[in-house]
This record gives sequence, C-alpha cells and structure tokens, in this order.
Amino acid sequence: MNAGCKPCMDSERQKLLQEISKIDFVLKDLNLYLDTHPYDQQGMENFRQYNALKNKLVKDYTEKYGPLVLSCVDMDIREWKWAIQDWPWEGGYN
Amino acid sequence: MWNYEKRLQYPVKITQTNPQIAQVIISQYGGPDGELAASMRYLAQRYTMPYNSVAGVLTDIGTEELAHFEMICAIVYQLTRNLTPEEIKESGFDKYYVDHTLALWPQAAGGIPFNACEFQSKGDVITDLTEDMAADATN
Repeated sequence: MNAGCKPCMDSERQKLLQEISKIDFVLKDLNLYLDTHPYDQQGMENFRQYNALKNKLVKDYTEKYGPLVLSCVDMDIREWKWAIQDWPWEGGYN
Repeated sequence: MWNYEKRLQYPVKITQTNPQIAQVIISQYGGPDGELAASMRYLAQRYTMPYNSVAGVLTDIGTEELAHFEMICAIVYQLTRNLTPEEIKESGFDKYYVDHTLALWPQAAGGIPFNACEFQSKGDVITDLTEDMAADATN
C-alpha cells in the first residue's frame, strides 16, 4: 500500500534543506573531533566558517519556508508556523 | 538541556508500506543494540567521566543518537502508515498492533520491551569506555 507521503516540497526548498543537512554533518564531525583536540586551530577555524554558513542558510530557509529552530523564528506574526507546519517524520517535509 | 531542530539528520521518504520490515527495523529503536540504548548509555555515563573532553564526547554523541532514533522511528512510522486491517493481519503486525496500534513504542524485533539492562554505567573510565566500544561495534 502507498505510504501516503505528503506531497514532496519544491526542489529549491529541498535543495536548501539538503545543503543545511550536509553542512550540519560536517559541523557534527568537527564538534566530535574538537572535543578530543580542543587546541586544534585549523579545526576551530573550520568550525567557525561552517557554523557561520549554517546560520546563514538556516536564516534564509526560515525566511522563505518557516522555522527549523526556535532560536531563529520567522517574522510572520499572524501564525505560529513551528506548530502548524508538518513535522519532519511525515516524509514530505524534507 | 536540549534544543530541537525541525528536520531529520537524513531525510526519510518511504513510498511503499511494509509492516514486515518495520517489525525488524524497530529493533534499531528499542532493541539491545538500538539507538535509544546508545543515547541513554552515553548520556548516563558522562556524569562520572573524570575528563571534561571525554564527558563532552559522551554528551555530543549521546545527543546525536537521539537524532538517530528519530530517523529509525520515522522509518517505522512511514512503513506502517495507513495500513488496512487485512495488511496488519497478513503481515503478522497484529501482535504489535493489539498493544500499540500504529504508534511508536521502543521494543526489540522479538517483542521484548526496551530495557535499561541493555547498557551499563559503572563510573569507571575503562569499564564504561570498553562497554561503549563493545556496544558501538554492533549499532
């Protein structure tokens, strides 16, 4: 039987979210590396760069499509998109 | 404390349901070598870890494991979405369904509930890290 996936979102949105996921994966690995190499200057510089990039993309995504994190809320004061929009496990969202 | 990111670590988009596979995959959620046990293991062991850097690794890996079982749950959820009564009976999913319907509940593939006895937390660096290595070789 068809799993009843929500309609997949447009490719531009999907691409942006994929980019955020990729960068976050890099950040996660750098995070774990730096935990045990806390004086590695190159590692910290890489973290700083990718973190700035992630923050920028999350901000772009939030402005276009809705919030990914509560610390970066959208400016729409008519509705609380965080709760109205699909949750990620529904499949259509990401 | 924790903050939630409203996305999966890797996307899960399943187009065909399959309750038989779901019954196997659920073990990676609540089974002996599942992501829930992994997360709880690291987050429990970190308090008595005498080195800040190692407590940091346990915190950050324990956090990542939460994102892992979220993906496993999404897989099971999507594999069992909108099942008909016939599909539930024919696939053998009825034995799970009778207690949990299509809700997510942490158990092993054989039906054994998630149990803290799946991991250890002993307050000894070598013991706990050895336990972590043994566990992560299997999940």
